[in-house]
Amino acid sequence: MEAIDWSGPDLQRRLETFLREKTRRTVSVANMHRFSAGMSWITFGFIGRFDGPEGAPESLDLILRIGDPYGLLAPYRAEPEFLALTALSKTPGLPIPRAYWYSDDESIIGAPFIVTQRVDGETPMPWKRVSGGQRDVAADLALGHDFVDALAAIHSCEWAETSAAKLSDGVAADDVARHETKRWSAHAGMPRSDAHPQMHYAMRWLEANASPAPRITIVHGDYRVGNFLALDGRITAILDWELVHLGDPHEDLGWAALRVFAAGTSRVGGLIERDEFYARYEEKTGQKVRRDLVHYYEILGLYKQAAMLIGATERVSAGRARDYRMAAMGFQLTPTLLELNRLIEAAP
Amino acid sequence: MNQSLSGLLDGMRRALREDVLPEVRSAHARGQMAGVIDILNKLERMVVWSPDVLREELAIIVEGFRAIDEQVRLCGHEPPPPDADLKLSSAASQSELESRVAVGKRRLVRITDWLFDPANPLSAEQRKTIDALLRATIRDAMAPERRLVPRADYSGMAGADD
Repeated sequence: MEAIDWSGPDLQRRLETFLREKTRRTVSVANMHRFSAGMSWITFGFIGRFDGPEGAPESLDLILRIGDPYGLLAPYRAEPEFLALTALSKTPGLPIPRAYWYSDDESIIGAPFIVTQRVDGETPMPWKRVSGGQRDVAADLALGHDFVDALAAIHSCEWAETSAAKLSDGVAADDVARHETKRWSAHAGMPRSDAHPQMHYAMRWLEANASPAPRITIVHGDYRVGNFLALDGRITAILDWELVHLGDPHEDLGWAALRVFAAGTSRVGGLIERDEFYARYEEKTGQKVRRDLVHYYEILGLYKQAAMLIGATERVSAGRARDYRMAAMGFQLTPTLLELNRLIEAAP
Repeated sequence: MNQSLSGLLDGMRRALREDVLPEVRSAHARGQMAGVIDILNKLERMVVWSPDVLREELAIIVEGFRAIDEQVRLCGHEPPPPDADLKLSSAASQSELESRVAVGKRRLVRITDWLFDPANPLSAEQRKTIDALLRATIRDAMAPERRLVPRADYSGMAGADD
């Protein structure tokens, strides 16, 4: 696959053309700059200036996210993120960026993309706090409360009458766990003749122990510390919706609670104790958290993480990665598989 | 190790040449970078993998099979056989070691399939015992490689604009 140059003025020109067609206004794109953090979608910030033929001129602070064909989870589609953000846009108490436009037509800028509102804030990273700086327990807890409340709001959305209904792939509540297992097995190329025994064992275990979902909700799919913005100690936006789907809400609860995101603490995301996390979630949603299902989805979460690491390694080996940090990810496969082994051992 | 040395070195050289070097403005830093790339070019032919990790991994797998086979036979059944010989000469080459470890891993996969097969004739208690032996073998076989892997510095990789 030929690398596409998204660093030059060509991207700006293509984006202006797209925005002009969408808004039927004159458009200029300025101050384009790329953020370096993600290994998946490529993110740019820019100012969009819109004028005529009707309405006052306006200037919007915007984000362009491009589904890099060389990215960690390629190939991408922007539509699920757009559908979910649109469906959730009126959900009370849920800070998310407004989604303006998207396209999965690769002829426009060379890959799927979405344009959203830019929200102020920074990304708190638990591992940064471990390597330096003092932990502010009260500030973490305030963030932890926002973190639970936003998840409860996502899971409380009555999605059936919204654009999110289009996320459905027809999988019944009885089968969503097996469906997710299959999805990540496929990502890791499983089953395969050279499978790592721990991956194969986990796949069989997940298939054998899958339980029906108590209810089907919008599932963020990557709900964790690192995927939200915060400002002045409050969450300002939940980001990174590329894995959004309909499924068992315990999937997000399990993923958020993985030890790998806890910065060496016993707290969910390094922010809030598990018991408090679940109690507040139950209070906000009116739904019981089943610890057995959370544990199952922690195992599925680690399996998913291992599948991503395998995918990253194979992208590097095949020359299909543009980001060398993916090679560093490959070294984390063995520790991840050992943690997977430990969690299966501890399953109720 | 699931990543080849040559693949890793290729990636390093590519990342330095294409992603880092064009952004480096200082002549001194560019000179240092060129030196690093030159050494990377030479390393591939100079490095010899130690076979110790593979030997240790293989010994753990063989010992695990002994315990699993014994338990399965105690239960009155025959375990799935390996698809090739696991025996190894003391002067085995790196590729022979890799090949035997691969045979061992394939057998762990076959035992897993056998154990999870709903038609498996084992009682729940027998299954639980063998399952624990299988999980322990898989876990212990990862330990030699785990000792070699330092923690990833994601903080450094997260970039300057975070």
